[in-house]
Amino acid sequence: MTDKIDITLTINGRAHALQVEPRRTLVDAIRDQCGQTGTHIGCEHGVCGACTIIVDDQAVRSCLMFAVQADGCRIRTVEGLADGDTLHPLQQAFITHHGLQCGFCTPGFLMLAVHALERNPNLSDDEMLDLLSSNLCRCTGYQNIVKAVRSAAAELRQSKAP
Amino acid sequence: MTRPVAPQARTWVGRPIRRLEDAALVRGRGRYTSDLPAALWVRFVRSSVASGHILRITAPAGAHMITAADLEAVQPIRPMLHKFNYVPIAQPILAREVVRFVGEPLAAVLASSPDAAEDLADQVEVEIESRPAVAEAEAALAPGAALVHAEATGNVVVTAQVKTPGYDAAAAAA
Repeated sequence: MTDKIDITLTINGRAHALQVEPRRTLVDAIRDQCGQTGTHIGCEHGVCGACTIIVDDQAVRSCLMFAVQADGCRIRTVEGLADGDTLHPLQQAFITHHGLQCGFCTPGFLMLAVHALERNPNLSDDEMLDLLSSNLCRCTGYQNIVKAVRSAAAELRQSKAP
Repeated sequence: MTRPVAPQARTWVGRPIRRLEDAALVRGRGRYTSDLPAALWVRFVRSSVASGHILRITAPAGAHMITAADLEAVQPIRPMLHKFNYVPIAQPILAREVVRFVGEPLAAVLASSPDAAEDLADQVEVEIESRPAVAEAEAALAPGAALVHAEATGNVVVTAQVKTPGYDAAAAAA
């Protein structure tokens, strides 16, 4: 149970060499051993989506993965979204459209939506609702989150337009 | 479409306020309780049954466990509503003698790491004598239904009718 395994987690381009018990979840390793506390733990069983991050181009719930499974993977978290002082368009849209209140669920929503918009900035409203319904927010009632994602999608489409 | 009512000067109500905390929160730089360093970690042991009488909670050797018996001096959470004639229901911090829902915290186990706390919490032995539960509001109101809180006769906490001033006029004009 306490045998530890050497792994490397590459988070937002920076490599972290760690020793972890096999049972340690990815989110615990990211928060406690790599000090990246932007990723939050809500339900610890894959329901709320607060811990959503991007691992090798897949949006995953980091409470449902073991840290050892992410050894050598490319991990993106909320801390890596902004480019220096410039916020990612989706981060700015959450502020503009009041897509957050307490902010606890926000990193999960951001990573979920960033991943989806990078794959397809032309998401229909139905697809967007379907996507966002996988995460829980207790403050906003979701309408402003939908507005923020829709607005950021429009901006991303514009910036990609020839 | 209705237009927003122009706010009165010098009032905070009805006026959009630029939030100062958002720039940090969207960057993952919020500081929540679980982001702070801690010397001790807690894991709660929770009820697996919806209704029952607690017979025994036994801690594994060496565990630092807290139960309701250790919280004699801590008041339960009791809502203070003065508007209605209602039965104030006391919610214990940790279940005391009775459990009322699946997941109700029964005990807290403290340890120096979250893993250690989890391991110890898993070893806590809980004996509960299961009792009939009410799972739906209508079933709770049926005659003879099991009482969730002994002090709320018929499982009714409050009976109230509320009518806001001006309702009749607004309804008539709708």
